Amino acid sequence: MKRFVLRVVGWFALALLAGCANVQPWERAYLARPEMAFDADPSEARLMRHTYQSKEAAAGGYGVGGGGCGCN
Amino acid sequence: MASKRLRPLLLLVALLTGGAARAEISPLADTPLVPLAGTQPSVEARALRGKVVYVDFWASWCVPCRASFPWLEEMHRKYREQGLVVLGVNKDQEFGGVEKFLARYPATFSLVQDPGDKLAKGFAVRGMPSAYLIDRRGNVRHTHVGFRQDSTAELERVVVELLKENAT
Amino acid sequence: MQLAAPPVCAGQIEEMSAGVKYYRFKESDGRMAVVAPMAWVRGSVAEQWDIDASSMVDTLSGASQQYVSNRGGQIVHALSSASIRESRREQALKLTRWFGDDSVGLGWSLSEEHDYRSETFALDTRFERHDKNVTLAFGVSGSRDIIGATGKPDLRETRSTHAYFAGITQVLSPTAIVQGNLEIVDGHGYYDDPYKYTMTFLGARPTIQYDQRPETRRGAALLLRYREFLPRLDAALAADFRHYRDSWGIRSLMFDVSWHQNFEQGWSLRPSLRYYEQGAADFYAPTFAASVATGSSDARLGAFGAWSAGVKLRKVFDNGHSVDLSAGVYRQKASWRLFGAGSAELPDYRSRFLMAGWQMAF
Repeated sequence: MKRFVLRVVGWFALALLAGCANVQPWERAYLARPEMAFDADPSEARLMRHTYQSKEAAAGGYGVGGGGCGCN
Repeated sequence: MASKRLRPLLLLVALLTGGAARAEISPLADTPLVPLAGTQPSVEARALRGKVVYVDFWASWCVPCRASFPWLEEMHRKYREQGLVVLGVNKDQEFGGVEKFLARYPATFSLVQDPGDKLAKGFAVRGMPSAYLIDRRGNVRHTHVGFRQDSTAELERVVVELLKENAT
Repeated sequence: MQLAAPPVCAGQIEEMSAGVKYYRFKESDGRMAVVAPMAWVRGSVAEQWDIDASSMVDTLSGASQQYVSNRGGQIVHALSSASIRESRREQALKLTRWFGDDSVGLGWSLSEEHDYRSETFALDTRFERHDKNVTLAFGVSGSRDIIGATGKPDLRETRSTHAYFAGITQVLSPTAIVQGNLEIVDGHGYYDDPYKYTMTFLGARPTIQYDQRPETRRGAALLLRYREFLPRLDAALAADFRHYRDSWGIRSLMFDVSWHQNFEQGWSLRPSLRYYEQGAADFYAPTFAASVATGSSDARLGAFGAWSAGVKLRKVFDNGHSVDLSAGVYRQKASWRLFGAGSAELPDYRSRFLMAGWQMAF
């Protein structure tokens, strides 16, 4: 499993270096839309994940997320 | 772009000649103002001379803007006579949201569009909302990114200070 | 085990919102039924501070799998004869402090039922870089579980779990954003299910294997998430992919896709489809000829594939209130596993759910 984790870290490093588009703060109208959030309805996500976890062995990965609007 | 390179040079000249040259000229001087469709009053760049201008970049999708608008309206009413012009620069890409926003958070101050992002790029906007306070001589004197209730006291203080200054 | 839910928007939320959810879940063949109302409040409470609090009560009723037997040559997952009625309470609270665009959050959650208690503390931070085009998130959490069992008053075991999280979110364009997260979970303690056992008949008298699992479990989950808005269609596509593996030998894949379609007057419809599969744990078996130190026939540790489909209808009103209604079905089948063999003897599993919600912003 150590190799798996190292490989994943390697991918992340590459992704970080690659960089992507630089979207300006005022161009975030679409990204700010509630349906574009990673967990648009956190309560619903919580309930659904709880149900899946009671019937499945795998879980996790959701932690904390970013993105969204350019607001301050 | 050339004016950006000239600015540090102008600043140097200003320092050497004791302020005879202008520094940090706001992008408003170069850009024509396009009113936001269906809003009053329209404003012309000429009318801004000698006034203190509060430029606010906003959008209907920006959550802190909902709190800023009532306060901006209050500033507009309070200091208009003394020479404050509040200029709301809208950055929406689609205008459906703007109508709804203005219905809930009405504004009697001037609202303009920013086609080609000239103003946003000229002011180097780094977050939404962004406020730029311009003095009577056309220089950007204060910037503020974001909006929270604790920002208002300081912003109002700067407005009052700038209004006290002369136009020359 | 997951860290507390994040705020919807990057950057401090200016508005407070509150809502309730009502959730009903029912398994096929008269098994479990769950009714779970939930209430929540979230938003900015002071300059630089956000709060996120929720509380829910699950009421479970019905029968659950108790033992697995091969009597008569066929593997049977027998349900317990007693029909239970239990309730579980869960509360969660998270406080976030903002430093410009970056934040630090402290979360707590507690889940309690008569034979199980789990408490978690979590710390997470978020950093926005490149004009918020890149978000880095890190988190750690620790949980302590206390496990008992009805009918076994002497049973009081504990388990402690730590989770480590790192995630990166990258804006791809004005309409698309992607996120990659890695979560590592490390647990020690009691993992057995004190209610389950397996009876293996080779002759007249069965060998009994009690559900016994290793005392440690280490797992890693890699989650990739994609969101794209299509302005011409006024719709958003969401796609999540997760790969999971752990020290029990379980490997799993998950694909979850949904399409959020906006309509006039604040209406929206969101159909969704999910595929999940897992391989069996090393110590999983449907029969045990002789009892072993670690062995379990729990269906949750077997190999299977599962599909679920759902749809959500929502209406947002001009005053900031919204209501939503969702329904969906879930089905597990050993033969549905696409990337490997399934545990053939596992019975099919079916369930359905209904969820209704209301929220308001103030």
